[in-house]
Amino acid sequence: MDNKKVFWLVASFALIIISFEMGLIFDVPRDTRIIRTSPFSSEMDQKMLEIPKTEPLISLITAGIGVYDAGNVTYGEVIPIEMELSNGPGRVSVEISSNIYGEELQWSILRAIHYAEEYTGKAFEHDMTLRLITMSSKVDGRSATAAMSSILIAFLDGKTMKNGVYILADMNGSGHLMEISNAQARAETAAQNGAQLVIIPRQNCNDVSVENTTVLCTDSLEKTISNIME
Amino acid sequence: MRTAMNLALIFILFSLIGAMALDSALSRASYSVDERGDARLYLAAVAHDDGIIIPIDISAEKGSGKILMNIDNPLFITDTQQSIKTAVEEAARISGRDASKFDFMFSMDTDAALISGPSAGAALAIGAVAAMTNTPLRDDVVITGGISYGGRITPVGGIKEKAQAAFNAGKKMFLVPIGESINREPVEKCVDKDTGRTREKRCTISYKSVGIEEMIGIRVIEVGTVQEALNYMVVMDGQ
Repeated sequence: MDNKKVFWLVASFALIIISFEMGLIFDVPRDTRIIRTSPFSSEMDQKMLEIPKTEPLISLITAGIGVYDAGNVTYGEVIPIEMELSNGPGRVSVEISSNIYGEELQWSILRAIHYAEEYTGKAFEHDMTLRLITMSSKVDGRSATAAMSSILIAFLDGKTMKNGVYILADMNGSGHLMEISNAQARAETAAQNGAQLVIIPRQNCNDVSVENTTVLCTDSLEKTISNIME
Repeated sequence: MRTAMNLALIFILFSLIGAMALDSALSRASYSVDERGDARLYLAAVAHDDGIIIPIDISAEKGSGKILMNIDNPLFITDTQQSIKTAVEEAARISGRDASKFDFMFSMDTDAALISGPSAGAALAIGAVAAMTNTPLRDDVVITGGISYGGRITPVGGIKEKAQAAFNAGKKMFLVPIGESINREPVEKCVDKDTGRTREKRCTISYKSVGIEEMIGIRVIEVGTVQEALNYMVVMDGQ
């Protein structure tokens, strides 16, 4: 083999290497290649690729019950409320990609956080992103205020929420539970979805009657904490 | 032959080192543009009949298409949320980026408790473009205007009050929707008529067009589209 042939062989080889490194040959996405150099196993790399960069530290999930009027019938829907917590200075945001958030609900979220901090005496030192998982394009209302505050109290105090307990109540900044609309429809929906205990504001006590589910009427979140947390 | 082989080995070695250096440089460049971009711009709004200037912070980072709205202060009324969603769609179209590969965060910094109305649309779209492309924006330009599909900037109210607020805040330029750089000031003319037995006062109102720029003293420019507004808002070399 003469020098000229060796030169062209080497040049071709180098071109292939450069093309490969630049991701031109196998069309490898650049971020995939960057993660490949991480110290984790390739299986872990794949997992890392699937996780959004702003990976939450923890997801808290509670539920509210939405009600809809369809002619003369009011029906309810269990709406999971997901709160993603990540490191940050305590910013609160809602995800509007799928739903539009009404003004009452936004106030309700802020009140739920405020009361959880006041009740526990601990500052909420995480960024929170909240989303409601529902097909409804617009979500609003205050009936999930106490439920949201409860799960935040549990998180701040390191406690666990009991299964099968729904708390359906608006709440003021002092933890006083306030009347909600369509209490019967909401309580029925909770019962149909496995609730063993439904907690409602005392003002709604005469509106609600549900078979095979205990309904507890109370006027403050503090008084009922032992019913909803382990 | 041996010399040729040695040369070949050296060549391969240098090629590898060169490729790795290039790769590293491209990775860094790619990260600076695609991983996260932040933009701050200034929106003119009206609160209690007075103009105010509201800083808007928008970030776009690699993600899955989430649009997040910070509600610490202020809360956003639903029409503003719709404007945010339209702004993201338009920003993606204008910048040629895929919005579903970014997570967006919109924050406004103001004492106002509620933000409502569509007049933030153009500012939100410009901020989203700037955040997705990591493009710095001028801090002496203020904009007002709604956004509609196609990136068109739509008319809004309170231009005079907003211009005054921008001027008071020391801004140099105020971008407004097409046709809104002129203010129609009512001019009342009254004539007294004395018939001997009765006295009448007859008034007519006409409108005089006055340029906002002339009235307030801030440079006012009409912009029809987000792309046009971007030309005034992007920091050019030397600015």
